[in-house]
Amino acid sequence: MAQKSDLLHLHTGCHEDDLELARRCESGDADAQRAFVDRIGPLVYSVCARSGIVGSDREDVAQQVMLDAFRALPRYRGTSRLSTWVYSLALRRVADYFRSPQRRDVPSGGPGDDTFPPSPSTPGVPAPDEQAVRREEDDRVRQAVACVAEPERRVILAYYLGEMSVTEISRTLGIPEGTVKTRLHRGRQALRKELGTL
Amino acid sequence: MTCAAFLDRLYDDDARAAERGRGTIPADMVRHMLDCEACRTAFDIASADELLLNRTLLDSPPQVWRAEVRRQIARSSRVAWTQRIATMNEVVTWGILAMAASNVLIGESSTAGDVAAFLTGGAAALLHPSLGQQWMALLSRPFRWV
Repeated sequence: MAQKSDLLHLHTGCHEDDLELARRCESGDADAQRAFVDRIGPLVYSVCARSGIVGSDREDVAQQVMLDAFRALPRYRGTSRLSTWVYSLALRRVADYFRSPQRRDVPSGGPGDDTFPPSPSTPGVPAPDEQAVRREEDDRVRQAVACVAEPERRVILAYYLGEMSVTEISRTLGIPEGTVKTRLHRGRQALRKELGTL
Repeated sequence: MTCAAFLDRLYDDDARAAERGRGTIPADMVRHMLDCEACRTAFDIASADELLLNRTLLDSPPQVWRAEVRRQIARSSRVAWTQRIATMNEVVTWGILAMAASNVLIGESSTAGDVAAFLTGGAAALLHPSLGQQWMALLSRPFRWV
């Protein structure tokens, strides 16, 4: 299915599946709206969490991004993946949040802090002890990512979390593709260094 | 290909697909990897990063949050429908008012005259500045009555 969609995209330059979902959402289709929340929600929620928004602010900002994205769906033309399109919107809202004087600053700490929520269990994940090991590993990686300095962290998040291509990141952040690659390289090196010290 | 070019190439779409196990390693990279152990290692590390970071960085939001977002989106949809109905109401109301006005002014009623007056009134409602935005929304979205 993914391959078929990719071929279609190569042929038409349009993400038909995403466009169809967007149009169905707009027309009030409850199933499509549910699919929209299930597919895009984790991404938006994670962008807010990984960007350092903590406490109830994280849920509020993520919720607002989802509503803004839904209301902006008529402007979605399918020229990029829906997730990429929403990711760009989320980045702007997160930047707005950090500029806002009303934000409630809560100092972020280490693993176990609210900044690093454990991933909820999902069906198909095996034994609880294995889950605990994986959770611990996830916490280490998240802490390491949080320690990577800007602007490298933003590019790392867009590339790995937003699953954006170098070209898409370049367009979204307004920086040359070469700079994106350099920041990715530096960011990954910093990440490895952090993981080595944790 | 130099090692620096290879490291740059790691982030290109075709190379990335291979790192994720969704495609074959591009031929130019394979040729370089055959001769360079350091770049073979770099490719393996990039693959590991792809798998680890994508999984680790993605959270699953709480069910309560999902439910609240769904509720707000559904409510937002209903507001849009309310606006559409309000627009249609105004069109019909203006049409009827125009029809009545034409009967009063002309003093006699004919089907053709009534239809013309109704259409003129409806069109005036649509051209009213406050309705312009709603009318565009009506045009740009497909109608669904259920």
